Amino acid sequence: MERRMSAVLDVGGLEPPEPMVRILEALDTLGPDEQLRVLIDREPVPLYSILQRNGYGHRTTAQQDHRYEVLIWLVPGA
Amino acid sequence: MKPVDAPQRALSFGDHPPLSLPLRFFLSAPLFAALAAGLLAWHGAPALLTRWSPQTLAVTHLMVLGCLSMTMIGALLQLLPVVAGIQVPRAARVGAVVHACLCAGTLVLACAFWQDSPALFRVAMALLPGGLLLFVGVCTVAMWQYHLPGSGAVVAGIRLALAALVLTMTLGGMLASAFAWPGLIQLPLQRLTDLHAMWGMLGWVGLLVIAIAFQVAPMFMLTAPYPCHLTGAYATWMFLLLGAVSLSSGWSGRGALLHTTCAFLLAAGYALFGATTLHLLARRKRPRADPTTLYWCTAMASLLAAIGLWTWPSAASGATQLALGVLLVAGFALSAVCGMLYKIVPFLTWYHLQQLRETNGRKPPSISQIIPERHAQWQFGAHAAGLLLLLAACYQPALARPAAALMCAACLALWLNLGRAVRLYRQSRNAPNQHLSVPHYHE
Repeated sequence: MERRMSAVLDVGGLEPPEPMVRILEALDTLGPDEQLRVLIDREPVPLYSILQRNGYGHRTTAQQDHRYEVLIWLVPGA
Repeated sequence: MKPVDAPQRALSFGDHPPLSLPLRFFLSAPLFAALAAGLLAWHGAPALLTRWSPQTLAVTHLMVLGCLSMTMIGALLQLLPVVAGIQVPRAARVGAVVHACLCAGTLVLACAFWQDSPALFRVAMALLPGGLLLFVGVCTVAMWQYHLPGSGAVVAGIRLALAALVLTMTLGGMLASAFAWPGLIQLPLQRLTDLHAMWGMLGWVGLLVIAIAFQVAPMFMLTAPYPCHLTGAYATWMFLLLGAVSLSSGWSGRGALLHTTCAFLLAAGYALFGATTLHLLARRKRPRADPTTLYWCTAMASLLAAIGLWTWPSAASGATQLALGVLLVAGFALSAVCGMLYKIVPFLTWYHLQQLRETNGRKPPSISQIIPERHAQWQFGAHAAGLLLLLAACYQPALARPAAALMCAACLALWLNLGRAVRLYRQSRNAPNQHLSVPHYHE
């Protein structure tokens, strides 16, 4: 399903759990046909179980500058 | 750009271990530290005359096993999943057993030293290696799995630290056997003790602090990442130097020269880590003197001071030996551990409250409300003052009692501060459900 990029959220340089707080707040307004692009300094492992439990899918890609890009979207039917 | 698909298949996103798993370690640790300081305060000056007295040994082991190792083991059980994506098998049950063995074994060992009781040494020799080997075994099994690509340096460092723990424990076991069965075997006690202390402090504690620093400093203290020359083969080289120093410790002639050279290289390596960390802390974009930063600055300054003291000509004197111990144990290790606790405990509490929100709808408090910074700063002040007094007490034994009493108060204050997080979590968990509509967080 082709999804619109709703926003790019850069949570670099923030102290935990600020990155997670901002991601979860952004997800509150995410539509079913949208995806959130997050740029983050380290792989947000604690976030994954929250996403999975609440019906979000995600894909993480390592970037050239040793940061990570995480794409998050609502899984249909969740 | 490489798609990181594999971690999502390899990791099982099952529930994280309950909050009680890491917290039981993190809340026992300050109590053991307070007990150690309290014991020192009770004995007073005689316990600080030499590092060989039974009281000093009891105090030291209460601190390094009951506080430092306790925190580090609890942190590893939590960090391996979070930082490296490694699932520790049966973490909750293993953690409970390890914690029980560590608590009981440490108390028994301290009593064994204090009472000079061979029977108690035998009991300690069963409890401590049992618990520690279980922990090392479980971590080793876990670390054979795939780990996240970015975590290579941390995992390698942890492996080396665990190997150092096994060596420390083996040496400790040999020493304990000399106490448990007096006169049975002749062992070079002085040499074994020095090696045991070296592997314990510089190997297990030191290498683990270094490995964790690579993640914790950028993550919680917002420093720039550590330079590549430290996150590469550095930890391996330090481990090899420890090995070289150990093997050459009994040699004479040219062997002694090799020994001294390796020892100096080891010291230089640690100085490099300490100085780099201080440099990274100083050059942060948004420097804040929060308690964790203050603690880590203290830790690195103590490390550098210890190295400086060791290279000073009077390093062989008894007082200097004690001062080295105080700087490494209370100055470097305890400060680093306290600093980490003030970040890890609030974060874990917040994270579990966030999970609770999915069922009771209550938004977790902001992280700064979980442990008020003011309280933590006061506690740091007490710790710093206690450390300085303890150092002075190495040269003026009359100061031993007030120094230890202040340190004891500081450790109890740490326990109270961390306890706030527990109370907050329990209140939230037991509060009646609030029927707020929280759009995306209902089942």
